Amino acid sequence: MALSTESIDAMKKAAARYPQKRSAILPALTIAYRQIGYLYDDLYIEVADAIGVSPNEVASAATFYTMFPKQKVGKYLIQVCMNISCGLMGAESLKEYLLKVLNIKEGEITEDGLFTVVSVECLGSCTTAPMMQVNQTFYENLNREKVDKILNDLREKG
Amino acid sequence: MEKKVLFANIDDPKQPEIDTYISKGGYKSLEKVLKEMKPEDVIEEVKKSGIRGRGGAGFPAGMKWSFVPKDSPKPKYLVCNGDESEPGTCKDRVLMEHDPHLVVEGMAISAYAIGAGHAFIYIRGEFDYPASQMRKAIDQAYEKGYLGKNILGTGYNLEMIVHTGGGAYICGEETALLNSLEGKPGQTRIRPPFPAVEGLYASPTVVNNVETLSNVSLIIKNGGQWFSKIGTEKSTGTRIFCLSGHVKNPGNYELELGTPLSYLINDLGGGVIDGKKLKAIIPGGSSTPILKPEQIDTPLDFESVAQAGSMLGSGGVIVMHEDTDMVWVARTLAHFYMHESCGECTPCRQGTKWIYDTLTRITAGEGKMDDIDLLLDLCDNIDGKTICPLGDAAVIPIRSTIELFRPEYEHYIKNGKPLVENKFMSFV
Amino acid sequence: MDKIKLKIDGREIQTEKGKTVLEAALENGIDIPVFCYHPCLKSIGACRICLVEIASPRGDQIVPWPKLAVSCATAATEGMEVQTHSEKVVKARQGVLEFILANHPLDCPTCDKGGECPLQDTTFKYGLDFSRFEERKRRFITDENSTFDDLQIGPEVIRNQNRCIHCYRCTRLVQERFFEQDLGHYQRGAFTEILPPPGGEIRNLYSGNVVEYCPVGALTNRDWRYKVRVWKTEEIPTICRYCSDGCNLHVSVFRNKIYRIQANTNWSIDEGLPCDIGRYGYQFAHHDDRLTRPMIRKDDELVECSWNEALTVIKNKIDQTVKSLGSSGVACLVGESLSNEDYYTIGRFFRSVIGTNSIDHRIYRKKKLSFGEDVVKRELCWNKLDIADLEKADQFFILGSDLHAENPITALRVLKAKRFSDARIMLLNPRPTHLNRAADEEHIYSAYSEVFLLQGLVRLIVEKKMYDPDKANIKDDEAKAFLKETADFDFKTVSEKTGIAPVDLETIARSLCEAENTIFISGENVRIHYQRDPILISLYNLAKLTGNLNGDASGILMLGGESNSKGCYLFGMRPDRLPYDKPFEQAEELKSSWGEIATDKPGYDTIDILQKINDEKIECGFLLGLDAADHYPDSEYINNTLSKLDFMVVADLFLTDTARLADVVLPISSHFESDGTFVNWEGVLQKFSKSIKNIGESMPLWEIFSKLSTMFDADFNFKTADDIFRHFAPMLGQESVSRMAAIPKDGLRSEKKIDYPDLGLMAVKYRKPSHEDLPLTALSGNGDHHFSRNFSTRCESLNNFLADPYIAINDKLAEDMTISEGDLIKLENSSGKIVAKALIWQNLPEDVVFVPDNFIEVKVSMIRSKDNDIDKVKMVKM
Repeated sequence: MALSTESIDAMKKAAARYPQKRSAILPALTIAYRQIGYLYDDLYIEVADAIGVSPNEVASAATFYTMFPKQKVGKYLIQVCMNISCGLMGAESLKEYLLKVLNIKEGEITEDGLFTVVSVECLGSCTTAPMMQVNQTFYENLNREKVDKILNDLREKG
Repeated sequence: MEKKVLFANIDDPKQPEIDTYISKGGYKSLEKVLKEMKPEDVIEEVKKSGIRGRGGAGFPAGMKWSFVPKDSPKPKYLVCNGDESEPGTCKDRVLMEHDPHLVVEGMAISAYAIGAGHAFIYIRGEFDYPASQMRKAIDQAYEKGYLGKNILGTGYNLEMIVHTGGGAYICGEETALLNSLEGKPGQTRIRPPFPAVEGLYASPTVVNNVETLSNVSLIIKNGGQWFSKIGTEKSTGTRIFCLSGHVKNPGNYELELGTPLSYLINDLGGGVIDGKKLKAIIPGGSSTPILKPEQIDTPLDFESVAQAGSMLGSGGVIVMHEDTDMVWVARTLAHFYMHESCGECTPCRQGTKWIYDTLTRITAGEGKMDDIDLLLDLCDNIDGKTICPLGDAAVIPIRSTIELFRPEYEHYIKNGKPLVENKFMSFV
Repeated sequence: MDKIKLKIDGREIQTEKGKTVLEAALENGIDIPVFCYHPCLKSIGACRICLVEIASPRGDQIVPWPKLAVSCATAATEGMEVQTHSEKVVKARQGVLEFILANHPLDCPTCDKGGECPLQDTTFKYGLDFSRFEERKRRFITDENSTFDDLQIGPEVIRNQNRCIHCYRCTRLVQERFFEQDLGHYQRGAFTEILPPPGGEIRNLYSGNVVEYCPVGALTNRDWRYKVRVWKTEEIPTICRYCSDGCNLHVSVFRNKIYRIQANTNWSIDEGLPCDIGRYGYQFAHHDDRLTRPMIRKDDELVECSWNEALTVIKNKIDQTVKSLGSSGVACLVGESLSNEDYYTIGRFFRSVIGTNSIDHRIYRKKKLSFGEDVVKRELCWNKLDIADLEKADQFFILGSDLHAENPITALRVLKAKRFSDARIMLLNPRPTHLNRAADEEHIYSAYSEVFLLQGLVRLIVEKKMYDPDKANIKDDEAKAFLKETADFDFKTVSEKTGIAPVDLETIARSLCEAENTIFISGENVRIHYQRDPILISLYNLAKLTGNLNGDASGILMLGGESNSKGCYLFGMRPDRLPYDKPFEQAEELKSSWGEIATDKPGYDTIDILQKINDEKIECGFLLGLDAADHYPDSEYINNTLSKLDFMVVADLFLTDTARLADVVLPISSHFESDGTFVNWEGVLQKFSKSIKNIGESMPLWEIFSKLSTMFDADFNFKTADDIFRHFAPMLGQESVSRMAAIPKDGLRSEKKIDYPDLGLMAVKYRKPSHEDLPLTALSGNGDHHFSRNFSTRCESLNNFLADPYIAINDKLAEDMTISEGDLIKLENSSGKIVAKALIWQNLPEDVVFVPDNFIEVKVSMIRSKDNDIDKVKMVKM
């Protein structure tokens, strides 16, 4: 069992709120993702058990939605918005810079296990471009100094 | 002109607190509705306001509500669409973050109007902070008795649930959103039946955008008449425009409908950055046709923008300066639509990928002149032939860039490199 | 039904209101191509190939629609004008096809679907003959070393995702119609793929249908693929030989060999969705175990012989017996999946040639039932509903029936009613059954407490006056009398005896009273129950009380049985009935063609036949298409009894346990090797056709007995099955059908539907069962993907789903006895013992074990005794 008792309880609580428990699949996957860091086949079975739906329903939903990584990522998952508004403000360059200073390719994990950088579509932060999301937090109006500071702070936090 | 109706309190850091909200007259509309108005009166008032949906399609909200069958024995649901994912758009997020009670109150009133016992707000999964703001607001509203059982002693019960998504643009489309809310992949449903008849859990359901519902308490407070006087005759009220791209002061601005685009870009946005020339404007999110610099005086209302050959859409105004490669713009958006195609219907699933692959080939220097016609024909074969508007949206940037900037494509195909090199902010 | 008029391609067309444009077109022979559309599924408008141009009236104008519309999901309306071949439509259709083909590998030469591929056909008809797609085709690689991206996703289903055109027919079918979750779509967009869930495979009872539903070769069949090209095969209609639903099937034959079975849609029965047992259950026909020559016992060994020799011995032995004991010294037991033509010929032979009426098919009963109760005497009266009527019900009360395993296609209709009209399903069984996946309520009652449960519910409804007096037609004094008579069935006692909580009993009672139309379904558990009649009477009471006795969508169904159980009694396989269920008093008509029949007294039924064998009053026994030694619920008794026969003839396809005891073994042909008819539980008579030559020297039973008749100077002269059909056709009461060829495509449905009489409330008595003092009750039924014995277990494909016998036990019991899944366990009582691997079932009551009775290796009859009503056992870990 990979899921913690707290996670399972939270999933059951979520399921109880909906008129139909299948609705709790996305909330439950969010809980699983936040605990484990990414999603995988066996985890779908655990999630399905926790909320009382079939693994098929869970896996079908989980693989459709792209927000949850499906393989192991660094402790800090950096998602760089590459869509139009951010793109116009240098998102491509931002991503290149991140990959360069972290010395990884897209999707890889830094040696210290801390970082993974991926490209994502519009994150709804267009007026504050360019931006990136690190785990749950949005970092906006980025420039080089800000990015350096963010990375340093996260490294320090470990 | 700028007119702060929804944004009246947006700068008050205490606004998300329920006490602050109440102290400024908040939840009075809900109380009035529950105690003094019948559901049909509420619908009537909203119809009177003339408010049209702020999500993109611009359908009159009051009319949507009136489609809910009153005699249906099934439970009814209200769903607030906070899946804001249209490139160039980030207005709902601001409302949820900075004035969440405005959203809650609007939802509660609307739920009452359609006879719903459950109201959901579907927020895109990446919006962690907006979702937590909404959760907090809802918890406070429960505590104060504005939600839950027997609200304000009127016998009306309403459960309100924040539901977060998992990363899928398509869930902004209402039927995909409903599937997603049911725990399914966010594929769309064919209509009819419309959600108002068979929506969430096959029960009557109304889906409205965050901005639309946020207006509801103000309409009740000030009257539909008041609202209808703002804006133009057919486009009433204000709208929040999200100004992004190559402008000095990007940001969310609330304008009276009918305000010229130039006022937004130049007067509020401070014009194009670095003294560069304006090249193109997307007026309503990535799914709307591009406007040329000479159309900058177009009034921002549903009709005028349509007349200019585009759409008001979701209010995402994206500004591009002269150093923007329009084939890159097309390819960036083509990637987006391919990535977000749910895979249900053939033209969208296959067409978006084919378009992206072709554009990739062109930008890799392997294009052929025939590719331009091929792209246009693929657009024809997608447009109007898909289940939901994602297919129609996907072809807009392609057609629009070819129509307005065909030489850039031809140059790319002939020379294997862009006519205009992107010169954007650099991190390196 | 309201009719509407519309124009399609300029043609004026009339259709029913509520139909779609596509349906209206197809009904009228106007071709619109489809991929995702299927009449059994809700339309989703995904593939877009059925786009049409529509204009509809507004005021006095005909206004064109702004966009093309999918005809599969657009309702036809009055005055509509539809174009299916306009320039716009043709362009759009070509566009859609081009999109579909863009990523579809053109590997038709190596694709199993080639020749019967809707995509191939549609492309040929509507597609372009060139491609503009220059990009790399999308591939779903399953094995880096192979260019074939095939993936086995279930025991019988192979997936090639590259070919998939995303019509979602397979996943919709599985989820929407089967209520299963063993196939889904994963990922999204152009990369969406069809897969079973993590760690699982597609193995539901209807899994083979996804292959047939696939409009391309993305899902193919392990059993069929790469063996023969479809255009080389001939398709011959047949009827399934397993359960009593009577699915219509198509046999694909090439050079006298069956290669596969597919659906042959009969909308009023199977809707083109047969279960896997019907689909793969043909493989026994070519099994090496098939008997090919008659055998005769010489020096205590069975040796092959000629037909002439075998029949001569039979003739002589019959003569001998009749001489010494009279014709009553001969008896005959038959199986329930022979043809009506067989039954008719057998009946005629024994009744008119030999002069014995000792014919029976009810081998499954241990004891005689208490006849005399008017309600249940005539089982025939019970099933007054058709399968299609189930769709109209609001509620199902399913008691003592593993409907999913006993009547899988009836179960599909129940599920359909739930899917399309929200019907409620209440399941009441002594063990969990797979229909629980869709049940609104499932109650597991203590084994053999049915009488308490049902009479308790009846009493509860009467006592609390929950019933609607108008519907129930009960007078107050009648109710009072009933309450008095059933005083032992008070709420508390009933709850104690059944193990169902009082609150649940009340909920069940209320649901029964509230629903408009409830259908009560019972099955094998009740059919073989020692108190079958009281149970049925209680069901009658419940139906009456809740106003569900008669009606179009309410009533009682007694299901279970085999493919021609109904034919058995319709064609006189009972000691007291003549063909077409006529009593002896009506024998005159028959005598005119059969000659003299002994109608002075009925013959013996199974129980008496066995007794008379033991009493040496019957010496010569025929067991036809029946493995009695294995089927009879007391292994020791049946073996002892049969060995007492002086002469025993067994006719079967295989050397069964019974055949091994025989003096003469006759090889019979399967139903694939002869024309014939079956009658399903609805009473619909359906025809199957000879699809392959007889295996070896085997013959159908009708032919054997026709031949035998010549030796008795009573030549029946039946050369073909149709010769026999012609004989009994007049009894079917439909003048137009005098030959087999005239049987309608969807079967011969008899019209008689008599309302059940109102007999008032009838109190029944509970009789304590006799049993050994052991802790566990042994229940049995069909294992997954198997039905009955000897046949399904001789089908490789079905064994791919379940090959080994098992004993299912409760998880807590397993834990207490430290038994893990797969451990060998033994069930034992004074009758005998059986050993099999343990399978752990949650929800199985702690005092119940379940043993599938399909496997020859593990005979449930070994732990059964005819002297006990209930078979109790103890369990030992090996």
